Amino acid sequence: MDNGIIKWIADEEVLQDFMVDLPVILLLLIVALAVVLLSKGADWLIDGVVDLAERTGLPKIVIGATVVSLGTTLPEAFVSVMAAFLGNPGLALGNGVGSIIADTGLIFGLTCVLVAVPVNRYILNRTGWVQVGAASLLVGIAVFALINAADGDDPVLGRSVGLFFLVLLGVYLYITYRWAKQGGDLGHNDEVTTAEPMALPTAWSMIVGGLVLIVAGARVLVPAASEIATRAGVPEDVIAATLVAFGTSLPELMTAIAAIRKGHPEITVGNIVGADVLNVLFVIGAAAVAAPLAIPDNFYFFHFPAMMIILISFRVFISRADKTFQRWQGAWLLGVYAVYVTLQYTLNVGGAA
Amino acid sequence: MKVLLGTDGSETAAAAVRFIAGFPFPAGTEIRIVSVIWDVLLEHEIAALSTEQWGVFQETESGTRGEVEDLLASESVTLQQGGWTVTTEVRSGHAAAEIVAAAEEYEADLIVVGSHGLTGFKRFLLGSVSNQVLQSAQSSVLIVRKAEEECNGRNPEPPAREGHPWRFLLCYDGSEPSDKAVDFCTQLDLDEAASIEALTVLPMVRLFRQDIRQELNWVWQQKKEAEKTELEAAADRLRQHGANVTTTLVEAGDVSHAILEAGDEFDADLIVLGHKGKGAIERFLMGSVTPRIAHHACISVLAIR
Repeated sequence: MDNGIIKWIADEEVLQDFMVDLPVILLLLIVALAVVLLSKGADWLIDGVVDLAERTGLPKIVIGATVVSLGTTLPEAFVSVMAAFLGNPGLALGNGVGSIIADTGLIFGLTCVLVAVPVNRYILNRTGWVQVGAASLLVGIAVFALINAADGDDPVLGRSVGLFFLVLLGVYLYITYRWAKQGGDLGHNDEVTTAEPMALPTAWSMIVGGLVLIVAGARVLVPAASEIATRAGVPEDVIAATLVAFGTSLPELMTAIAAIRKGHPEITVGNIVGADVLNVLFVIGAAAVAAPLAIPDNFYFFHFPAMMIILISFRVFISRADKTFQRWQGAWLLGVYAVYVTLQYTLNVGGAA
Repeated sequence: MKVLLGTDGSETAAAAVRFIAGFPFPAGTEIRIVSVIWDVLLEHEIAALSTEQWGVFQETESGTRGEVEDLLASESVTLQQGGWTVTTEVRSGHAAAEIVAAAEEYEADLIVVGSHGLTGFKRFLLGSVSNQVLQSAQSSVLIVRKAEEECNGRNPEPPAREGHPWRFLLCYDGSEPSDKAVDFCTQLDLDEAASIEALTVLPMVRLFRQDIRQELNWVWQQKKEAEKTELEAAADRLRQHGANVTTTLVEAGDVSHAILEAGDEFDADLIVLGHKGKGAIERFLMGSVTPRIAHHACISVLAIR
């Protein structure tokens, strides 16, 4: 075979070389178009999820934590597997860890500040543990690898760890479904729907079509916006810390915005919790299966602690929440995220790349 | 060194003969030319032939065999003029499989085949012999392109060697096969005017502009420095054997593309690279560099195993 599958789906060379030659006006047009794609896709996705929830009786938060999260973590998974194959494990690992921090700190923080996000205790108490658990497991295995690494060698997440994560991913999806069946109706505030929900196939095609638009939109938006920023004289490290670091989390952000606009913030909660779990089990798992991931030093003293602070805060907020998350809780998460990004560049610890 | 040349009387095969006649193989190199006649009939089909049909069949076969032997004789002369010891062999069967089998029997270090340049649909249906040899051979494989094949306005076949020194692009990535590629070049009998560009391509993830992040990261910078040092060490090994060596390190999202571009820029006659066996999943997802280079290059490609 001459070309790998990844080459066919993700030949960035063509896309980026094309953009380098375009005038700014056209680039702005591309950005605008990408934003339209993203928000249209997010709208479809949310509509599909809401209908699917009504049809099947599964809570929206669960669909958010499984189907939606699988879709929105695809860019991270793609980048990470590719990076692992190309012999850049730092980038593979950084994408997973960085996305957890951005999703929970920035996107969920922002959502909490903007709207009152309802807490489905039955589901969240459980999936919340999985969320912290998956990340703790990652850190635990990483520390174990550090202790056992021979002198001078980088600690490594091996193929077997990756495989183990992928098996856990299957278990996670199954168990979430079981929990949803058992406890879905508790705390699930039934909304009165006037319109007849659409047929299941239609709901599914809205979800899949929406995800395709979102992922495609993000893929075009990031290089176009970076190109504009570069021409406007924005320093590369600022672009890297903001736009690029955030690029693979764009699907989660757009989904969150659409969910808030349409009045279903619980989909966002589900999506963030699910995305965090999947970033460990799916993204890092798949990348480690592709090629063993060496763990750079800066993960131990910077990225892992930042991730754990954000996730543990989130977990504490769940257990204290009454009916909704509080604004100050969102502000705290946002604050931690801001400090993380600032420190990363002022101390020059190296990005999560 | 033992070299096995697969020939079929085509123009590309003739180009391969010219190419290796002037190639700076080490002194004492032996070349065997092999031509494969396609088995038109299977054994049970032969058994079913009438006496008359059998006569026609044998006549045709011996005619073909005679033509092939003439061809091998004339190609031997060209190679002997190049100063090499030459033997010939005629085999019958499937071209690529027989070439590979002949190479194993001969214990060849290198198989040389012409690139047929089948295009589009034909290539899709038949596959190319050179590609099949490249994939299944145990030894190194040199795929020669012929001069008439117009390619980006370049003439891929190096002109007569007088006054045109060899220019090799050597792809190095620190792997075992690429170390072997360096070893291969150190064995060659290169003259003073010949030059080698040693190239390392660092693959970058360009998806979602992750390359910007990577570029700023000190882990990546460290890796880059390490690769640079390794490349220089490889270049020094070549220099000890008297070659003119320059080094280049580039970062690219697409390794094959970067190698082809570097080949054009250096105006190389030959791309030398180590052929890595990749796992099935990785090949499926990422593709393999060597076959892509062999497919798309305008110039000859030498894959070292």
